[in-house]
Amino acid sequence: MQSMPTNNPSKCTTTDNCAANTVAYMLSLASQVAASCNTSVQPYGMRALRLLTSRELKNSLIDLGIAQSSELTDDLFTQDATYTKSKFPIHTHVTTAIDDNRNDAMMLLADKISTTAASRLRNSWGCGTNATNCANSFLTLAERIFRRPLTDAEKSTYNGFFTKYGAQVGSEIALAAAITSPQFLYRSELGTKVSDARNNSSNFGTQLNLQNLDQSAYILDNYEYATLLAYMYTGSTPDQTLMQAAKNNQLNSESAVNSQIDRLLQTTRGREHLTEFGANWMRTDDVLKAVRSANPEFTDDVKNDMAKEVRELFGYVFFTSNTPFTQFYGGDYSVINSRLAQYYGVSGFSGGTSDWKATNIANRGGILGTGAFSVGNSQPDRSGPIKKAVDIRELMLCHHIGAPPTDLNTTSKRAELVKQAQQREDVTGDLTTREYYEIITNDPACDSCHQTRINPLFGIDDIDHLGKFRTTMRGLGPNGQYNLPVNNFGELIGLESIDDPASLTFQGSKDLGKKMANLSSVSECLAVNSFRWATGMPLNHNSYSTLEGGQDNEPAKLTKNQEESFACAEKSLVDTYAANNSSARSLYRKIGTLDLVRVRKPIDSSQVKQ
Amino acid sequence: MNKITDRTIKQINSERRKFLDMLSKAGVSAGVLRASTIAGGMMFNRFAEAATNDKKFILLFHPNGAPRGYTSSIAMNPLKPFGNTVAALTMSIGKPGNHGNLQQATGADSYNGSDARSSSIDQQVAKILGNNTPKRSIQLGVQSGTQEGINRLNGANVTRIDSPATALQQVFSGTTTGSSSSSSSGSTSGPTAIERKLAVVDANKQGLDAIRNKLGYDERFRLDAHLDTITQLENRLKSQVSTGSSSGGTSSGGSTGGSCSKPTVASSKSALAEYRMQGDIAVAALACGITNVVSIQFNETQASWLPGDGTADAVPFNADHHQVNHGGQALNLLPAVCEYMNKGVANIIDKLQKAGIYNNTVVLCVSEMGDGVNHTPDAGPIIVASGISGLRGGFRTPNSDHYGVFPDVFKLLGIQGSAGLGSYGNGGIVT
Repeated sequence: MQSMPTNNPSKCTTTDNCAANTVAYMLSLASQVAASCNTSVQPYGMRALRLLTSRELKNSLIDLGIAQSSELTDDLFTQDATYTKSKFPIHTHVTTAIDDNRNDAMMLLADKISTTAASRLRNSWGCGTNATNCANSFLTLAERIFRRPLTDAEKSTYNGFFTKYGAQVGSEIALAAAITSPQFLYRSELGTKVSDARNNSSNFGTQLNLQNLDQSAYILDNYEYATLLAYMYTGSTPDQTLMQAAKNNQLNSESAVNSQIDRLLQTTRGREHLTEFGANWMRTDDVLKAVRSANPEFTDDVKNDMAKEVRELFGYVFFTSNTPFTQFYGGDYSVINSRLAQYYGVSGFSGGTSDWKATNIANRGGILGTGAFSVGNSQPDRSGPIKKAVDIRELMLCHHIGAPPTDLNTTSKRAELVKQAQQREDVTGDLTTREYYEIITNDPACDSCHQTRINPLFGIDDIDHLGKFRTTMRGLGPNGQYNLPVNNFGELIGLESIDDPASLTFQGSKDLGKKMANLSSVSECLAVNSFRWATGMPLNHNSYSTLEGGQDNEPAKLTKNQEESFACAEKSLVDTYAANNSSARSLYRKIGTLDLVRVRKPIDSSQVKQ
Repeated sequence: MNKITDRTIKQINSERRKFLDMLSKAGVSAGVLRASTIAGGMMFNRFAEAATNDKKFILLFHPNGAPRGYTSSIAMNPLKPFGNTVAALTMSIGKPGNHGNLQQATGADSYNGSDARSSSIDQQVAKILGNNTPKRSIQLGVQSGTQEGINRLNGANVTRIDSPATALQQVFSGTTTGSSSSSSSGSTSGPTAIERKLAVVDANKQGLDAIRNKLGYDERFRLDAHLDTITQLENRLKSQVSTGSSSGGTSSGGSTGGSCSKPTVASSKSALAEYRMQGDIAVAALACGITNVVSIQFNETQASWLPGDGTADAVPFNADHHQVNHGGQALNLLPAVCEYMNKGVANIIDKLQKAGIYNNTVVLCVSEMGDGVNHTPDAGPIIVASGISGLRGGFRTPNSDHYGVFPDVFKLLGIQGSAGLGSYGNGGIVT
């Protein structure tokens, strides 16, 4: 540090964290070597309480019959905590619990809906003003709300509301208490100590042999496991069928669990939950924030359709039989409605705005061809090839590029490059977007990322900032020349990893999608993100969450044993995918029967971000 | 040692609240407590101060620093009408000094939950000024996203409310100035709304205790914060019962001190329009005694908000604020971008004056970096505004890190030296 940076060591001071950042980067390089699968290590997940996300909360209230969708307006919910570049909503009690804001929001929500809901429920129970009958009916519902049988203390507490206040007020207060309770708001993945479970194995029917597990580990009981499966595959509370299976110890074999998983995936909630995963993973809802004032054809309806297009495409690939996941990248089609067909210039589409159909489109297909992917990564007046290239690397291939330098404007070289690009933009008007970014990143300080990892991918600039396909464009700036050719030639350098010397060339977004679809990086990245969405946990340390500046942001890291055992889980998921014709559904299904989702160990403070 | 200290502090706080609650019911005023030798011990100072101290605090955050020389530019135009009640400083933003770790910009530079500096200064202040108001503090945002931001309490992130409509709902729920609780006002007999809530809270405390007991002490992490939240709510509800008040803020500790009315909000995509709405909500919450501490985080560290918002306040630029920092000739627009954000500050000061509470409110605006163009810590924008006598206004470049302003804020609020505040030096920057 005393002689760096070269020729300017005084720049590396404590005030700009230069030394700390350098050390962190060096450590990150060391950590990129993945752990190997060690089959001798018993896999254990992380013991956790998980606060319901806003979506899970809404779905649960609706599916329990407590609220109707129209009552649950967005202003009643607080924002979720999000992690990883995909901003998955993940709440574990390590980082997220009820604070003042959340508690106030829940009390307000309860205030708003409990009277109407209690009245509706009493009518359905037919208990009238009979406090005892209403109490009994409520306790039955409470078992669904808490997702397990109530303890004697809980029964006494909730019964007490009816005894003290009568049927009407008692039910209102009981309902308000139940939906604001920690028993409802937190999903328990705490489990029961194995040593205790051995004495009562009927509650833990599982394909696991309890005798082989650490005595100090914890195993989720049937109700906790049912809850986990419900939220993993539907994003909502366990239904009656799943609760009954838990009660009857029918989650006691892989085949029985798979049967439940298959059933859950076939539900409306199941489909909705998985398509939500696709859109969240690709961050394509950024399109909803896009503003294109200069382009009146880019309406709110078009934006909403673009957001839905990604969900429909992902859902199509996930749920359609014999459709390999590689189609999500390499298909010749997208799933669009009539409005998008018109917007994209697709002729011959039959159907209306509510009809979503897989449609072959000449110059686009797969996620790279969706309007949302391009618009969400663009500026209002120009496309965003850098952001798109980074998303391809980080989101789709799980290749980590790292944060850009923070002192971009301090070098004279940089100033000269910006001036050069500006000259062409403001005066000659012969600058394409690709050329603009190639000029301003032609600085040795930028080479480590731009020279091989990002800029060669600029061949994907054939879909513009409005989500439309193009072969020519108007030059940037007020005097932009018309019909400048768009260079769609590109190269993906680094296939199986970002440092892999192997490469492939392509021409345009659609061609890149086809050529990258079968890379092992794609299947591994599917495994990493599916696992994260389903469990909230990282699958390996390379998938740890970081902030935009590269700072560590992973709530709870894996122990060494977890890294090694999770590596085996990752292999298992990828093998399942490959053995089933690259089926994303088979991979996602497999997660629910991994040992590590059933058996857990406490999170140690040493695993937690400091 | 830290765990023991943490538990001890929690126990002391709990007992202290019970004691004051008992005294309040017995008719002993907080003023008497201050004068009493028995009550003069440091253990009760904080609560005595809160009961008689009607000072208020607004913490603001603007992303990505400022261009050099910003105090000589149009960036200051919105603040000039407030004369010497505004100090616009150019200071080093040593922590974080660059993107990310926004909580360090607001004084939370420790991850040790027992350390006072593991809380942002708004939360530190709220520990003192927030104990007798319906809400301990309110955290608002403007297009601030979902990642952790400026607010920390004992090392834990504190959530914000980004939507003005949501903020209005949640801040003014259950107050006489806000919409009344529809469900709990069903009948004229039976338990009151507060009694219903206390029944709910009691059941939830039992549930939380049962869950906490399943976890080892080291495993509880943020669950203790949940318990603290429920306990605080319970105490505030009991306080309202004992004073016979069902509204926010008219009980002890939250003086209205001026006009109080619930603002209106409308949907908008303009960042400044939302900033103004959140500012109006903040001022109304202070004026109505709902809280004494509010923070507003404008956007986030990537400065992704759009200055070209299509309104009369728009800055003519077709990309986000961050692109202005990196944008060649667009750098000329940076003073206008800062001016845009400062219009939000000006709105708050104006509304504080109109509400008659500017003379007991401190407004502090910070950023996470100094020179936004070069993303370095030096030459950062810090604004302190207050009608409280003792503020030295004007434009200056103190030779100090921006943490040096925090002791002055505490002094203006009349809470300097209180237990629970971080130590940031001797101040003397704006006082």
